[in-house]
Amino acid sequence: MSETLQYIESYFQNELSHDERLAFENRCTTDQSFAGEVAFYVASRQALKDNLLQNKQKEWVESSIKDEWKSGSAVRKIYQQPLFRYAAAASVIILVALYLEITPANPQQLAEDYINLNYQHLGQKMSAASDSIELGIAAYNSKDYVKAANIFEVLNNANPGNAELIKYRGLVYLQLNNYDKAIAAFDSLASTKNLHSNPGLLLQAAALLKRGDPGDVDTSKLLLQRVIIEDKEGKDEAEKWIKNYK
Amino acid sequence: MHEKRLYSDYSYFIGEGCKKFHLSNDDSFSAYSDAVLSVIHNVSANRFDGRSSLKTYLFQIFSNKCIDLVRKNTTNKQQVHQTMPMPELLNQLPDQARTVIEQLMDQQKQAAIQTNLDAIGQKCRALLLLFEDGLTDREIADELEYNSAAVVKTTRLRCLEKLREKVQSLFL
Repeated sequence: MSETLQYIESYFQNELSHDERLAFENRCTTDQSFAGEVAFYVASRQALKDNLLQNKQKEWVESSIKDEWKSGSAVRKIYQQPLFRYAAAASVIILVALYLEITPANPQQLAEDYINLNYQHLGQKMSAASDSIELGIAAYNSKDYVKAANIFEVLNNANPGNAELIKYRGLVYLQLNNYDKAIAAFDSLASTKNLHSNPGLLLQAAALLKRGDPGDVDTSKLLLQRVIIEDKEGKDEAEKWIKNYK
Repeated sequence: MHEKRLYSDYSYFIGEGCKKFHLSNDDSFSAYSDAVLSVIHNVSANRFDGRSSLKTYLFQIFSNKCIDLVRKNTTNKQQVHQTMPMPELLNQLPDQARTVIEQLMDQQKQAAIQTNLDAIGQKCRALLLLFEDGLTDREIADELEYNSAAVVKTTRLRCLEKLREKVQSLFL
């Protein structure tokens, strides 16, 4: 076996050390006979590559032709009719509509939709005790959630038992995808007593579903069951979500 | 199997090559096939880092091949003698060495090698083509039932030597 060819191949396969590579490159410029061997090696590899490419091209083209043939040229003519195209487009729209209607949404999706529908925008309080709450709500509604979080955090520290502030704090962290803080806030809201309505449990379940850590789905299910049994705010929603658990 | 899938999934690039780079259908087809092969080799050699989608990656390589062809076609129009595209292997050499080697290669020698590929025997040719297709010596040993990768390497280099003997006079 030619040691020169082996040496040349080692270079092009990156098997030589740095110094050996330098020596190889130097030899190409100083040793005419060696340069001829390298030229042969490169030209052969290129010829083989061209050959390979030709074979592949032939194979791929034949395969495409076969595939086209299998799909049927007569049928293709029908596809090209404008009427067929309109009918196909209409069918796709109907199928998508049916799919959306029939396919049950998962609880995560339902929770996401619920938050988006009900808490994208917070109602302004005309008789709010503090202008700062209005500022926080305005920041929330303009999607400046970081600013809103700062405002609600400060207000919450000043009024630790204020259920409304706890809820806003939870919601803003939910929007910031800071689920741990959102869950803690909704847990605190849920344990606040003597409220006319308390969505704490449902919101906590929604935050758990959005976080999706191991065990979160099971915990959210338990919370939703509590909402139903204890007839808490969001009972209808909880019943809808719970039906979609696997 | 994967090659065919990749080839057929994005074969519409061929039409885009014709439109965007004003290439003939044959040239665009050639650039596209070459690009598919390069993508497969690069993915096999872990040179595709996944920062873009495979489609984007393929299109980038395809565009580069089209540009190479446009350059080659433009150069050829201005020259009496046809040049050949620079083999990719030459890119591994530094400028000075590359120039020396490039000067020793021309289309005539390339054609002589092509012709003699049939003369080295079907087995040799198949072995060399599998290596060119990106298979390692180990994989070739499994595919063609050789005893070991070392045997494949020895046989492969002997086949190359056989080819060299047939075209030796041209490279001296």
